[in-house]
Amino acid sequence: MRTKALLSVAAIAASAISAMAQGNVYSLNIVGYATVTVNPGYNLLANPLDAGSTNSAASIMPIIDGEYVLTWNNGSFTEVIYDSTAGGWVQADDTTPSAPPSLPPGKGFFFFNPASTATNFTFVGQVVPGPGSSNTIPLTPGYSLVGSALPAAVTTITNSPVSLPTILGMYILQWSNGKYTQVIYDTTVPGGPWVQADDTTPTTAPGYSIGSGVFIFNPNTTTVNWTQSLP
Amino acid sequence: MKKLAAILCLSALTTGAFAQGTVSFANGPSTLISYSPPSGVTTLPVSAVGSYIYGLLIGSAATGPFTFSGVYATNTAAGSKLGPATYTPPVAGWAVNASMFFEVAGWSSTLGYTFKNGWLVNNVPAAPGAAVWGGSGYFGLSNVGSGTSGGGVTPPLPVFGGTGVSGFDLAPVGVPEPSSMALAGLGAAALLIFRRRK
Repeated sequence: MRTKALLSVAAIAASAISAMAQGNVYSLNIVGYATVTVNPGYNLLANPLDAGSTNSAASIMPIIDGEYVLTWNNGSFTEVIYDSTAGGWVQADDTTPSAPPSLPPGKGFFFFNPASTATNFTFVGQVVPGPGSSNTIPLTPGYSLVGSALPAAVTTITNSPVSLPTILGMYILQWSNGKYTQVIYDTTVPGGPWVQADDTTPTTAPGYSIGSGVFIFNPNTTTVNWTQSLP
Repeated sequence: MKKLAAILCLSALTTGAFAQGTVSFANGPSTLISYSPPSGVTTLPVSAVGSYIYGLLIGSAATGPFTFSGVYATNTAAGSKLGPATYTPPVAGWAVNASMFFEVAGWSSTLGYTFKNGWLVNNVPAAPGAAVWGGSGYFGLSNVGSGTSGGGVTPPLPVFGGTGVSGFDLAPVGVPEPSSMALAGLGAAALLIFRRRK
């Protein structure tokens, strides 16, 4: 019996030493969090971190009873509501059950906060892309509601690592205090290439803050890819 | 490029001048409608669809005057809910992406479907029992909200919540109040007692 116990201990010790002797394993995943202020009324947001397979609205951020989530699909908004008096997540008719919308990094959305005070949302998840790979966000002809898939803040949206590509005639619409600020990229205008919505008054390229959504108008007839990679 | 942009701008402006802004005319769980029966204030009970009618009033100043926009909503299965939320109507007199002030009037269907301007006197509900009510029922007026209407890439403005209006109360109108009825009854009883003593 004593010999048997000694042999067992020796076997466990040997397997532990063997495991420790193997080479170090490094993870290529970068996990982080980002806190975004959500004001009363509409907020234009984009999930900055990959929280899992679906990145559903129910899993990436807190639920506020009476909230609306609007995503942009083929030129119009799709609205999903969380309404406890209607059974939870419902379609815009406030009756038909719906799955919470999928909001992966790179996809912008409007979030309507029905409360009268601001609150903070903390997004938690993995940074995409991982080292050695890249993100591609398609900017289709017309309007696209997008956000930087990479959680980064820059003073100029075209700067790395956000790296929004410039397209002649593109509009960038950012939402603040219940209205858009529009900037146009137009190299043919004196004082350009960045001008205000009147396509005349010179301005600077907008910045970008973590977790914000943005409408991009692509005037071309073909899709332009917005590619990002870690510096 | 500039010429093209100018044409596009002009065309957008022309369209915008005629286009009407959109709103979401539905309330949420935190903005339910209540009423004041004789026993006190309570959330409107579950009631048949169409039992309560709601109208959107708009104005260019917070102090009014407010005019009825022609936009109606009604209660869904629950009496205190109006909508549905897909009811995102264009509002006459409210341009796309324009800021306005607004309020919501609500009434029981016993007062009729159509909003009557006489129900409000200087933007305050007419006195209970006034002839303008034309019947008995409940009526209420929300607080004043403000916001920018939707259209195009701008989402429809939710009338309730945020900087919009909150839930409000419907009160009895068009019928003598129960306390008045009780007083009248007491007076009649006193008269009878005095007559018997004489």
